[in-house]
Amino acid sequence: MDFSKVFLVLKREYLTRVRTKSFILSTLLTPLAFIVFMGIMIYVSISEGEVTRTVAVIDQTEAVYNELEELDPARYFDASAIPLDSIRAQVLDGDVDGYIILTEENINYTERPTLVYGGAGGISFIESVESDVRRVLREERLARSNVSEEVREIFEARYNIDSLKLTEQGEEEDNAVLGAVFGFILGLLIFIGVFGYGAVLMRSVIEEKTNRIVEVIASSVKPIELMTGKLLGICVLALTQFGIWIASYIGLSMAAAPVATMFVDAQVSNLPPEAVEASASFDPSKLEMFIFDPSIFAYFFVFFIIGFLIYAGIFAAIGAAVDSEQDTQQFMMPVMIPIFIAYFLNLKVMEDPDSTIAVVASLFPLTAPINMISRIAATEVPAIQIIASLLLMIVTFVGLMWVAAKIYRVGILMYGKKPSYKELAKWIRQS
Amino acid sequence: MGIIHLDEVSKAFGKNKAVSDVSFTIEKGRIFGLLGPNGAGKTTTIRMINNILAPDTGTITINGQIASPLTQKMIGYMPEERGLYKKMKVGEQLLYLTQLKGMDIKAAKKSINFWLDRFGASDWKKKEVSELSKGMSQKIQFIATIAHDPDIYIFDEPFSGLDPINSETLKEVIIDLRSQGKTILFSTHRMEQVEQMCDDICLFNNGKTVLQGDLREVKASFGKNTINLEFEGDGSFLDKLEGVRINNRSTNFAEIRVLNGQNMQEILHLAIDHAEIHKFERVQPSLNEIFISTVGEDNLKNEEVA
Repeated sequence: MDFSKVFLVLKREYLTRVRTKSFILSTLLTPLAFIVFMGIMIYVSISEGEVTRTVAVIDQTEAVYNELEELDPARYFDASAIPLDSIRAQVLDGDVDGYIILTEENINYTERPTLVYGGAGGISFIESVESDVRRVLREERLARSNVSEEVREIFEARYNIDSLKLTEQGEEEDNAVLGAVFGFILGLLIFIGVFGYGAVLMRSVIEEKTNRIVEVIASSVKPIELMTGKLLGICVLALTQFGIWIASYIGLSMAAAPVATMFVDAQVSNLPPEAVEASASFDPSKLEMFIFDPSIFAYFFVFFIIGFLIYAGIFAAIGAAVDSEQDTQQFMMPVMIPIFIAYFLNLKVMEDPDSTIAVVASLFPLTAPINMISRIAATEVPAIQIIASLLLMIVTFVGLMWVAAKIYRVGILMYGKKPSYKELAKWIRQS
Repeated sequence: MGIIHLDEVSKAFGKNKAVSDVSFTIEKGRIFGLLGPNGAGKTTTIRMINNILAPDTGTITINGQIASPLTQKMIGYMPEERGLYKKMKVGEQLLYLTQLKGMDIKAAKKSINFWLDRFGASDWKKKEVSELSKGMSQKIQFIATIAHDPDIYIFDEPFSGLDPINSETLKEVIIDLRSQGKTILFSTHRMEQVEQMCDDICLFNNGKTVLQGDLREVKASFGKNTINLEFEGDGSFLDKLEGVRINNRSTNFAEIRVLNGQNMQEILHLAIDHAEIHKFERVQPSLNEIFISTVGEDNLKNEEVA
């Protein structure tokens, strides 16, 4: 193989595509959309305490209102003296967001209290009122029952658990759920990349055939050189896009916590002191959990490259075998089946990355590119499995490429009837 | 040994023998015409010379070397089905194709500029091929074939689809290239161009060569067995003639190929009896006639030799 020619083909393939509007837009807009999404998420979590919703409290027990006011003075006000009709009118006008009547029956819990609200309501609003009311009613009932301080403390306590992961280096904080979701997303990215860029390669081969330029090229380079150059050109194109995405993700995830802290501090200094407590529920340093070990990205690129190479040869061969994109469907089925199976298995891998099915899927070379990366992100995969999976993929790549190159070689100069599988087998034998 | 030499070359696609036991030699500095009906094996032969296909048996040598990626650089090839990248700029495209032929970037740019200039196409460099007219892209295609300055030029049906102006330009360039000592091989089934341009011909039929050699010698070997007849009057007497084949017949002209060594004077007598004769001339058969008689069912030359 003449690598200077392969490089020329690669360069053309890459440069003509990297300059297209659609490539530039999709590459830049995706991280931008991500930034906007993250920004909205952070904004929403910070500004939750900002909008104060007011609830008129008609406390017929005259025992719990003070407690409520203590919990959130900005929200609750005593409306026992105001006639119900005028409160209802205020709710309808939007001056007050809702009202609640508290009775003795509520304290005994023989009857549930009712929050009547106007406007949109909102789940978090209703839930926070519910938790406030539940708390004051429970406290009142405990007080009346004369239970000991100990019992009250038991009710106060919130039982949460902390999780630590045991590794060779000792105990580490680890977020298994986040890792699994992240692994699924990486697998999805490989799925999209292999499929999307495989199709780009296939269309590129068909284009050269329908443009009839392929015979001119074949009088200068060997078919295998042309195919290799195109395949690598598209692979580098995909790596460019994923590289930009991942670099911007890493940048964002590292910047997220400090930037959010800055915003929160700025917000807090502007807020009235009573609102600060409400906004404190958001801890900017939590964003640091989105920073992943860089090695996962290295794995991502390795598995994407090999996965792409496995499938790309077949995509190129299909492109060479047909004259137009409409004719590809028949041959696409065998390619789509393993890649879609890998996609659906990825859900299982995310749920239980150490299950037998996940291990098998991450070793089987046609599903490994997608399923192994998900496992690596979600759990501790033994090195031997990673190596075995890589070796199997490389062997598969060599075998498929050998077949694909033969089909490609015959196909690029064949026009006319769409070949059958039998004819493809003949092409493989004769060349 | 010539610059291109084929020795007992065969190529089959499955059961279909596209080319069988073909041998011919092309001498340096000549224009060589490859003739034959569709499906005779011309394109397969040309693809083998270009090392796009490999022969099943036999050898092909270019400049004394077996056909290989190395010999590809010596050849400029324009296939019958022409094409360019539609979404690529003319200048970049020519540079790419020329570099693929192994020319370094500096020399390639210089040569491309020279040819664009010669064809009055320098303004198109920054245009995409899809913006060009058909005649313009034909010129670009042609530059793509010759820009790497090879010794050998191969054109498969070069005149098909060309407008008259480009056709004339191509002819001029081919003659010009030969005067620089280059070798040109082209395939065609348009005989008048072969007669005007070719030094040597090779006639293909059913994957075999049936006739080859110096064009003038080939024609002379058929003898002056053809009559060009110009007349005025009723031409229906021509239908009564036996043992002849009439080509190129019009209301007052006929090219009469005399078969079986018939006496030509009898034809003249018959003609005088029926029409006013303006011209009666004994000539060598036209290449068209040679083509038809060689490829057609009655293989006259074999009979005459026997």
